[in-house]
Amino acid sequence: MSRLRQIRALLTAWLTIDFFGKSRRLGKRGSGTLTTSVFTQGSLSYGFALLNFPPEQSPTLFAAGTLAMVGGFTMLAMLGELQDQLGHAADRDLVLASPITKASFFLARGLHVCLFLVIFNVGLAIPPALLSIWTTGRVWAPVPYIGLSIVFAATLTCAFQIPVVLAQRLRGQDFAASLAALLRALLTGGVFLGLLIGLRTMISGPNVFPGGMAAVEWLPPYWFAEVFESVCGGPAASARGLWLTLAIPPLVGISLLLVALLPDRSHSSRRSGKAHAWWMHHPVPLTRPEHGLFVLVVRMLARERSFRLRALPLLGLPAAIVAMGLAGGIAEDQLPYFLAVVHILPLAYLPFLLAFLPYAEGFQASWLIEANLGDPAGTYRRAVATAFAVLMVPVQAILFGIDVWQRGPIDAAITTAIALGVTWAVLPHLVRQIHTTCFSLDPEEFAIPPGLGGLAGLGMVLTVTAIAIEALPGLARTAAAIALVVFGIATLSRPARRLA
Amino acid sequence: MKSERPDRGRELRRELISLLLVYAALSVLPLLSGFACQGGV
Repeated sequence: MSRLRQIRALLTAWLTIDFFGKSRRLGKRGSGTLTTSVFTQGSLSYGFALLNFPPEQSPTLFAAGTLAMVGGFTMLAMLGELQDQLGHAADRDLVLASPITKASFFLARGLHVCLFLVIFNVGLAIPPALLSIWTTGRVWAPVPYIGLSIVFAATLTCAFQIPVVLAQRLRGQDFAASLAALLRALLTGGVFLGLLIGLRTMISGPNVFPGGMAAVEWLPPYWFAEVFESVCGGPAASARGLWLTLAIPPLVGISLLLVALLPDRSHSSRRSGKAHAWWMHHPVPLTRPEHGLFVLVVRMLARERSFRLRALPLLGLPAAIVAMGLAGGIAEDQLPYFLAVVHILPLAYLPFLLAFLPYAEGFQASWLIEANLGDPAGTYRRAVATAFAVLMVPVQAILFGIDVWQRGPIDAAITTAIALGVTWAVLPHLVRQIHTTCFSLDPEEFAIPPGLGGLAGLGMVLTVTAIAIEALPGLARTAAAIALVVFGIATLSRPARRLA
Repeated sequence: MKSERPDRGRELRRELISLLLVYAALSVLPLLSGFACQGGV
């Protein structure tokens, strides 16, 4: 088979997966999934661009804001795509076992990544590019706009891919996937924050941006926007903007290439060496099977690829809301209530994380547990409750740190104790939604569990309860904290009632 | 009986055409808004 045909075959296969995604994997015929998401994200981009399209808008700020939005969204889509590619064991085996030369494979992969980036980026860039006809007064302005937006999105994607590839070379695939999930969570929150701040800056002027105009001028979208303006006949770009725009994309590209060429030092057989991690020491009395599943659940939460890819990025949004609230400055008298809500947020989000628990890529291995336990779902319920009860301690410790910084140690300790007590008391009830063996279903067939709406309502009730407890006078609040912690530990330690 | 041979590229080509249509649809609204807000270039 000639090299050209090899590349064409790979590209056709990968593009078919991109366009038809899930339906093709299941062997069905169905409509495209990529086209739909291009349309929805393009419409979002149109809404964002139109909000910043008043007649007196500065053309450079309009271009900078929309370029940042287009680049950010494309980067998020690309990072997900790069993680998914070759992540499926069957695809990997099929491609790596086929008679395709290494050069063809890398060429096809590079071409595919570029094509995917262009397809996605163009959909997002079309609305602001066309509106820039009016901000610049040039009919051909969309052409340089789209070109620059592609270069900008590619640079951003490469820049965020560098630490992931470096981690993969030095610490192995598992560590790299965890880092990528963490980065995506931070980026989801960051893009959301950036959208709000960017919108405000574009409408009210650069003075409302944290750091003022000087900070705006130091951001990459502004350099690209300056170059775009000067291409379209506006004032010449500053020497700094021009050189940075010209120098940074190739620099980032070369760095990524160099990092990718590093020798792979990770070994799949290497063990972490920690037989008894800190989280294994807890006071909850568990039977031996329950303890075994508890260890499995904690390890799977860190290692399961589908959980990391889908569930963890969800946490970016509440983190962004908290950061925004604290940065925005909250009135002194409202701060305790805000922090009470922040402490209860992880618990309010738990039902959404629990919804991802029945899925795992190695789902076929679940027979091992099903064959050995009389009531696998029941045993799992107790193991999952204990796992999340233990994992909630470091999460609350971080929030305690933020709280101490805002209010002082005593108030922070009481609110943290209340949140932990409520979490431990509620967890055994929350895990009742687990009706199947955990990690026993194919992640490709993910379905939203039917009772999730009611559990989201429970989150609201918990938030109101946390605010009500925070409103109690000092002594009553301390008493409530002690009572809740004792009640929480008692609830967790009670042996599970077996289902009839 | 002649067996139906699936054309592997056909559906992909069709999807590419619908992607172009999506691009076209995405260009209509900004153009309309531009003319409505600011008139001719």
